[in-house]
Amino acid sequence: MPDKNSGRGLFTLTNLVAGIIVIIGLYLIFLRFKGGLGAVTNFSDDYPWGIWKSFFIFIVVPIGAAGYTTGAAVYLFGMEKYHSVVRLAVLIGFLSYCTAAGSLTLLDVGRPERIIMAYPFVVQPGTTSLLFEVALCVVLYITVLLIEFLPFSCEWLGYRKARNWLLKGTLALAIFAVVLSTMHQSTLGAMWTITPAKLHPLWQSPYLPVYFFVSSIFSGLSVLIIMTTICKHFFKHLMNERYLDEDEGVILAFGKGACVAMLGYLTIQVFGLATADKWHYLFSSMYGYWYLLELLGFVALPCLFFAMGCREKNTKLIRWTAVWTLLGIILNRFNVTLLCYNYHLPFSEKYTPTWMEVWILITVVTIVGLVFRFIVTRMPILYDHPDFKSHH
Amino acid sequence: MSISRRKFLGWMGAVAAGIGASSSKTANAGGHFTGYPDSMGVLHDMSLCVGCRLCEEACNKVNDLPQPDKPFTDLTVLDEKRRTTPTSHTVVNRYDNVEYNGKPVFRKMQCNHCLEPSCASACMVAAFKKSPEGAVKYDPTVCVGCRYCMIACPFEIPTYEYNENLVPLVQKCTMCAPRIEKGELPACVEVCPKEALIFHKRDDLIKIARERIRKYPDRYVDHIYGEHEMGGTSWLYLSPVPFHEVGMREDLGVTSGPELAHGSLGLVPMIVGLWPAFLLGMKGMSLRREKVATKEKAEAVAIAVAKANAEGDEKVKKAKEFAEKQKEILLVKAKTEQEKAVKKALEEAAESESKTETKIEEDPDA
Amino acid sequence: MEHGIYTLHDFMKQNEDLTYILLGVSLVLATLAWMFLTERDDDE
Repeated sequence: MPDKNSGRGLFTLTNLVAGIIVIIGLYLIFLRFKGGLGAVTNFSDDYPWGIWKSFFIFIVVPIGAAGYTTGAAVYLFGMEKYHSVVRLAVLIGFLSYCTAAGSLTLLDVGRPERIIMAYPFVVQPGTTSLLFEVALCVVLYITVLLIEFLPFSCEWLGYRKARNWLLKGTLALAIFAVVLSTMHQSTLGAMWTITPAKLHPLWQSPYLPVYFFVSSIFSGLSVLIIMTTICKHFFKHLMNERYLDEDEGVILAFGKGACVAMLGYLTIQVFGLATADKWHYLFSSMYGYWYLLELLGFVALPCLFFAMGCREKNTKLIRWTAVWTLLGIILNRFNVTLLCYNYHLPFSEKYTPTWMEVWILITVVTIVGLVFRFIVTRMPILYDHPDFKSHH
Repeated sequence: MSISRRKFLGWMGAVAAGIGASSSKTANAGGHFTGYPDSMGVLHDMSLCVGCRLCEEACNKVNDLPQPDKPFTDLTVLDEKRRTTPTSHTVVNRYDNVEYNGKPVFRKMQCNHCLEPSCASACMVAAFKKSPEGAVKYDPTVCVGCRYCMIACPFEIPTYEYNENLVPLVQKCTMCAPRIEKGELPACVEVCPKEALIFHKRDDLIKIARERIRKYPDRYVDHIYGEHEMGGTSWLYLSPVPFHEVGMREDLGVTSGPELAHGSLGLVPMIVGLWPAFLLGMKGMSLRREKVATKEKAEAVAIAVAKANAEGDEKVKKAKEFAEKQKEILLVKAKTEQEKAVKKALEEAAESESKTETKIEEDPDA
Repeated sequence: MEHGIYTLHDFMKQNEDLTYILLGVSLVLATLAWMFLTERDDDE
């Protein structure tokens, strides 16, 4: 029904730009397979992981945290009245994890066919590996998200029986989502504890798994705030009354949640400094100031602004603070995975991505954006399907 | 459930046997592992190395690697700092800023073959394995090319074939494991003209190194690099200058990669074990609250309805009663009036027969 | 020597294999336990 509302023909300016980006990007991806990773990237033996790993795993996965945080809030922590955003959250989570798994498998890894066929994992599972744990969790969680996502497609296509059957497992799925997310979000941080001397001491910590998990909470909540805002801007005509009614409540509640999570994060960061006596690093080099900028400028300040926004019921402030918070997450993940990794190397030996790496990254993001638009304008994400009464 | 008792008992037996077997074959005292006994290692004595690059050449030949642009006899290569690459599994670097006996110090670099390899711990398809002989072996048949081993290696040794399009592999020193199995020396050790490299049981090498330090205290820094670094390595180093001055990190610590990963992985079962309990508890509480709320609401509604009903009933009853009374009164009234009228009529009829008028009063309206 | 466990890594390998299986089992069991526990809640 609503997909015709947004259809202003295929040849809009947005589609044209997106098309150009994607066509050039696909050609670059072809080059990557023709000449190997070295043909398009600056990956090196010192920096085996470039911006693709940093972005597609370490940033996209906390973005996908919107799925489990929202699911937990609504289904487990008694915020049922904000049920309208669950569908959007599931969609964000599903697309994020598909992006992460898909782009890494198809682009970054040296032997994609071995991952796709899963053969080495069956013959020789590396169960001692933190990355194995992440991979396993991501695969399982994508399955969970798929089961959570399928009902919307069923509604779109009119498969009533399948939809009702799928919805039966909602509670179990919400719990699996939280368990699996806690596991892999924290393990993404734990992955760096194995290399104690390569990451700058201010970022290296035995608490890294906890830092990554807690920051994924406010990351997910912020992403949800940002995405509802974006949807409200572009797809307001699709939103039903219930969605619009609950919108302000959602923003306030999620802003408050993010604020609390950030307070916790700040506290444990300070404890981390104290237990390992890292105070002297703070003012002794550029890394110290960089760390302070990240922690104070991109966690403490947004935390304060979230609090102010919640106190004054200022949803506009909360929406902007969410963007700020997400930038902080992106900064933190880049710091851990690239900028403060190999901190002992001189600047001349550090890694900078090639334009082609960046272009391919933008290509993937563009494709995901198009898929998101396709789904939102067709499936009942922002409204309840008229033929299906909301099950809650 | 159709699991037979016999089957079940069989399973239990298998589990018990597994537990018994696993505990009996674990040779760790108090959770501390000391590595394979009699495993081999190499001692690199930097005070003896002259930077001839013969080891690089031998390595290149043994591993069938492509010839480099500059021949191995060209020592100008040493002017720049190099690292291992996919086509050079070992490199010798010259450090001009430090001197020993009036000459610069040379250091050979290759995989250190950790006793507890970080790469093995990091690999998600278990492609790396510490062999009982000492080598950390790489299995190219399962490698998916995620390159986490390279992130994890504290010595920055594994390299990747980035320019290989379809079958890129990780490349690193094999400690000449195939040669060792045949009873030969690693190629670099065999070719070294100065005996700056010696191959032996690791335990013996540590004794030899200690002895050298004891005998020539002026020649060596009092430290065997690799004895404890990152849990210990099969390659050991003696140096006439502080190790950090020849590009070897002294801040690695003594905790091995697997041990660090072990700590982090240990969190996972706790998450899986306790999160569902905690979350279900939360859910239970929220369900309970909801239930109580609905119940209270229902009760309140019921009371309100009952009250309303009761009130309504009374009104209706009253109205009914009122109506009934009214009716009765009227009926009585009507009756009497009718009787009166009839009586009157009869009387009138009887009294004045001559008068033929009949008079009827107005009818009562019920 | 072939069958012994001399490194922490091998020790972990052996234990993690089993742990992952147990983790899966525990999730299934948690689900069943919850169902068993709450099945008759609606009866009152």
